[in-house]
Amino acid sequence: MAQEFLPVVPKRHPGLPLRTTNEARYWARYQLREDFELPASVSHVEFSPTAPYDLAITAGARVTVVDGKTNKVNRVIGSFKDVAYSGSFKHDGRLLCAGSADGVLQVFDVQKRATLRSLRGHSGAIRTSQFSMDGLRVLTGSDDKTVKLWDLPTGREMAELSGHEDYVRAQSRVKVSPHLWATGCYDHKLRLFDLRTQKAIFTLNHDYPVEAVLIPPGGGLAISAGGQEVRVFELFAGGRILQRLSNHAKAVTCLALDATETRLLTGGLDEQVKVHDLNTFDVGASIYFKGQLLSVGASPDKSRLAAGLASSKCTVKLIDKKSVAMGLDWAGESLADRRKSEETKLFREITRGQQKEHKRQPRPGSLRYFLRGKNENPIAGDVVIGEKRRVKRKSYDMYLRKFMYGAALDEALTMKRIDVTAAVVEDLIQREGLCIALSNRTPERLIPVLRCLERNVSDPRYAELMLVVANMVLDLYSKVIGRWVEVDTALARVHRAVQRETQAKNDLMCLVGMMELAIGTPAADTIHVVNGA
Amino acid sequence: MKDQWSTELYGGGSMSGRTASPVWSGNGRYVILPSGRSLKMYGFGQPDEAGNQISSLGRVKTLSEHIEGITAVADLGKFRCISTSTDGTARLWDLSDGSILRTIDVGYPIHAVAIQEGQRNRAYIAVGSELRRIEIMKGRTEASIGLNCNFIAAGPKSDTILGIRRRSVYVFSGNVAFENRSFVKFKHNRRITAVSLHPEDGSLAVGDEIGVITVYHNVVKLCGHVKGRKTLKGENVSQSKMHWHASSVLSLAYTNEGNILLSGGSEAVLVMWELSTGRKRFLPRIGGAILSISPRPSGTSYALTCGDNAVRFVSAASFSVVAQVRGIRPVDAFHQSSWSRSKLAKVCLLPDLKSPGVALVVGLPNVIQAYDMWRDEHLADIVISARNELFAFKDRATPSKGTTCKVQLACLSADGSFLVTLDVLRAKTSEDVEFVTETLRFNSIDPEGKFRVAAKVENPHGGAYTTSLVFHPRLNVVATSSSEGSINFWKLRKESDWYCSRSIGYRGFRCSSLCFSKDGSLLASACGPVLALWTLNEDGITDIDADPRILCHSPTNEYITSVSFTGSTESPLVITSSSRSVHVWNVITGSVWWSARMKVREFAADPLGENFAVIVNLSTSSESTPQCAVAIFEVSKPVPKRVFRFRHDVLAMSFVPVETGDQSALVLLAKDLEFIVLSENDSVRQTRARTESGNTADAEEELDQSEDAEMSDDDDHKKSREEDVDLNVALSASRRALSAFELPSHTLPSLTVTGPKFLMDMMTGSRDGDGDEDEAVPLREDLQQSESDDEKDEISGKNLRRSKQRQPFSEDLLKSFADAFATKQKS
Repeated sequence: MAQEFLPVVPKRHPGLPLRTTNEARYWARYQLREDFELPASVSHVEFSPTAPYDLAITAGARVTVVDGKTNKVNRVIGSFKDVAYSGSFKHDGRLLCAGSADGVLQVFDVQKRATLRSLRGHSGAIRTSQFSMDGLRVLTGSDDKTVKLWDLPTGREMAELSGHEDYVRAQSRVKVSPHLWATGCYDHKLRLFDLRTQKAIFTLNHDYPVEAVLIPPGGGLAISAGGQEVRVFELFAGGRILQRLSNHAKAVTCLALDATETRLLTGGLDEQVKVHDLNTFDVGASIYFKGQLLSVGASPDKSRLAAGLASSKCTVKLIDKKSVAMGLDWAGESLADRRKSEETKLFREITRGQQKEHKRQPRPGSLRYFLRGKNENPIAGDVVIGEKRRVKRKSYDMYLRKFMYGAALDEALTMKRIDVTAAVVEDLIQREGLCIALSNRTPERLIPVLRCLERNVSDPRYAELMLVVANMVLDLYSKVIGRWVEVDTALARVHRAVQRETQAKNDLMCLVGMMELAIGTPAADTIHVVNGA
Repeated sequence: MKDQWSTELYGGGSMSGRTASPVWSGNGRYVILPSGRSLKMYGFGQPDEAGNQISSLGRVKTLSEHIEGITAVADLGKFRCISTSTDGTARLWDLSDGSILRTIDVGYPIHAVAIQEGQRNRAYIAVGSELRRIEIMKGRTEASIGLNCNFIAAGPKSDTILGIRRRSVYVFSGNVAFENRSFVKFKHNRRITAVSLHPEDGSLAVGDEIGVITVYHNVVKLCGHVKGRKTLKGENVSQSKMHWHASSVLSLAYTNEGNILLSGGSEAVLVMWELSTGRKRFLPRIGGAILSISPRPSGTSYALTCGDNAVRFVSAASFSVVAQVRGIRPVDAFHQSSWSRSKLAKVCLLPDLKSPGVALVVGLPNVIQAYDMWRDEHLADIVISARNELFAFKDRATPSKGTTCKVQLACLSADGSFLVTLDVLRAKTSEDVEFVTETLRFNSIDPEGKFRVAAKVENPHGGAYTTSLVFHPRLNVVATSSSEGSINFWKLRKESDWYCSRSIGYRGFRCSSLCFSKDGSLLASACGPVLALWTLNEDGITDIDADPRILCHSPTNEYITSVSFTGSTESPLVITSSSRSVHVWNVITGSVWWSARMKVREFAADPLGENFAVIVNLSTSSESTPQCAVAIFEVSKPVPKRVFRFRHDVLAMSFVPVETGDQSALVLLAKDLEFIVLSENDSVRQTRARTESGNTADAEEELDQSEDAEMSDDDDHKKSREEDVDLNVALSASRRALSAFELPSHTLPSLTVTGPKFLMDMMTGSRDGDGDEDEAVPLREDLQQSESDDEKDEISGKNLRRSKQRQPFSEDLLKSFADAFATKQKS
């Protein structure tokens, strides 16, 4: 048949695939921010395990407790002689223990701010302290290279766990067993102690000073952080390294679990909190905080994320109330939304169907009676006399159809969309009409072409096409360079853009060369250097 | 064995020869289209359901008696027509039953034929450098004039005969003038490309090479009653000029009333000149250059022959295309001169057993054509990239830069649900800059036949050119290879999500061809001179850091051009062809089964059986017309089953499944768009016969016979061949003997086992004894078994059975292997 004219279709390029996963979208919902100014850098933040999930911020010589409901500073515990560390809640949220730089461990009643116990025994600063799962004991780690276990009811030291050769800066209790405890030490080791024998059953090498330790609820894994690396050890497999996560650009300082205990939050000096899936250890999201992180925590009701920053600030990020009310989750989000939208759709369909059925017949004599049937659509089986529909064409298509190549290119350029311009240029090349389209241009018509070149010559998706155009422009107009000032300046800008791109490519080539030297094998893909016009 | 692969069936052919225009017959109820070497008759009369008469176009019969292409047809009235061909005959047909009433053998190729109005027992034909008038029923030449005309036309409703040659029109007014050899040489100032004579007032419309139509008024009267030869210059005649066409006017026709002049050219626009008012109407985008226009006697429609090998019917009332008959498309539908030179379409196989005989023609611009080879019918154009096909103006002043936009490669998945294509836009934007964009498209076809682009990848191999494209036999995995040696595996992730899951390569060698084994466990790739075999995992791709098994290094370092496994799942053989040889390799032992040296141009393997075909170049560079032969081999024997020689150049070939679904027939596509079907049995021909009520043609086998005759001629060559063969046997024996030691050391049996066997093998080689062969095989069986235990027990078992059945190698070779093409090459 005599074919219809086929319009030019701009190409669609693939988007970035990882931009919005459900999980990333979920973590991005923590948008509301509340900052707490504190006297010194925040060494520890911890949420109370019971409602309303108060937040204990340890900074300077005090522990500040923020109310979970109002998000305001509730009370300040300041009975420390020196810098306090590691304000940590008991499992019922009533007691709080904190060590200090003078080697004294104090246990407080959170409500009354009263010091219940004051335990001395460490010669160095107590950098980490934590209640046991039953709440009767506290384990402390200190800069005097010792770890001590305290019995709270009697207030006596129960045991000293030996073997550490440097500062002990991290610890983690084990949920599945009251007898196991993990410590992290600056001698690069993560140790797992059995409190019954008081011996280390595992000594796992981290290769960097250990800043944070975490034993996830299953008990099969041990996670340590230090340097730029997070290591995951599989305890059931004799402590072999399961994963090495190096997703932070700077040192990793803290570890935490989220409310569901399926995600691992790691914070570092690169001002990021990365959310890892504990099954796959893939990073599902990364959350930016304005400052170097020293500690991180997530509230058990999923409503808040807290980060203690080195810049003597504590930032709490809150999720919007609606999301909390909906019980959103990274997995459940899409499902709930979809279910809801399906319900509304169904509802609409039903109501519409009812409306249709209940459409009243017009009363004889009324206006509707006389106009009835006017807007009826043909039903199946009716013979419809077709109306020749005018095809709506884009302006550049109309010119292409008339073989007015120059005008078609002008129209494409006025759209200010590079995909359209590229599609038209490619069609012109196929028609062998690019030369015709580019020739005989006045300065006013030439400058848009040069602008387009300048903007897109470094875009890898269009660079090749733009170079073809650029070469042809130079071929056609090299004789008139210097006649018009505007054209010359536009050309110079294109030239600069090309030079920049060439420089960038060369730098990359140098980098590839250096990397090849470092790795020892030639890189698989070579970068093609674009020759400047 | 004697009659295998002998059945020949012709089809297709060019419908758009320069002079072979369609002819209306039976008062416009039928139209006769010359198509290749046959005439196809289509009927218009039967109204369809909607009562629309003109659009119901059905083939009534195919008349095929000519043995070469038909050059022209003319209607004689009373349901008879005459056709002329380059085979030197003119044939008179009775259209009612399709029988030949008379065959006139002239002895020289006939270019054109014309019938004078009112004198339908005589025909004017252009033979060689003569114009002849023949009496049809007697077959006698009545008169002849030594005029080298390439085209003749007869004026409607007048007795004028026109012969056209370059810038002149020779006008004969009446047959008396022809007998007296008196004519007027009417001179135009440019080369004439089309003429038409007005039915009433005797004016002559002349279209020329620069696109101007000149109407010379009153020419018939001016040229009438001339005695002797006279020359009349166009400038001296009253004339009117019409110019719209940008390139040469290829066709001109007055309508029956004479008030409208139709013209067409390479622009694929039908122009309708209203002579009384001077207005023009256009019908653009016809699909190809308009080569001829023939108005229907009733005046209601026009038949246009188009450059894309189609005949289209334009309704005069609505001025739109209402029906069309399509043949196999040429690559360039606009420039007729380039057809003969351009490398034409490849035929790609459609292995869909539900539709046997359907082949996809790959290599066309923007589309893939589905053509039913058995029924000789166009089925559909599958649009791959929706682009306007345009006539690019080419003449001597502005030579074309050579823009091509072609679908180059295609493959179908085994279940027919995916069609993967690669189309290439190649444009020279300046002297040394070529802009090339390759697009790999994954098209999904749902059960209703709906076609959708699922995914599109631009430049799938970066800067390198894609050389081959194959689909995994079971899984949704596609492998592509590139000129820079990379092999990419593309996998289907979700419904329409294709991604490149792995990229491999062998030492950066250019990879020219890929083939999956039938069970999908191996991928054979021709990497330069090396055949690399990759083991695939259950996902259909190679493992990370997988190393290929290097099967062979070509002995003379020739680059392998194509590789293929055999069609049956049992035999572990792989066939490779380079430009100068064919090798059949055993995958398990890694040794050459047999090889032969020949100038291979094209290679195709049967997907269902154990045959493969090779097109062999026979012509030397000095010869102007290319000559080739097609040899069909069975994979187990180095002796070709059949050798055919063709006068025309064969462009492409492919094995297409026959209706029973368990066998294939070989389809060859010749340069004149004609295809030839060779098959083992008669089923193809029966299919054709069933679809048509008309007669089927007997195949002619003279080509084959002549080939045989030539074979027996050269005895000298045969002798030298035999010596060669002896050497071959010795070499193969030593190779076989050494093969025992090729195993890795830990699987090698002790010397007490291998030593005697080695000696035995060497001895077997020196004498070509039959008995020893049987002893040697079981020994080797042990070795092979141990080697292939962990790989393919089943295959190796089959292979061994086969190797026992195998006849002695030397006997095979000696037996009439002195085929003509090999000896020719030697000389």
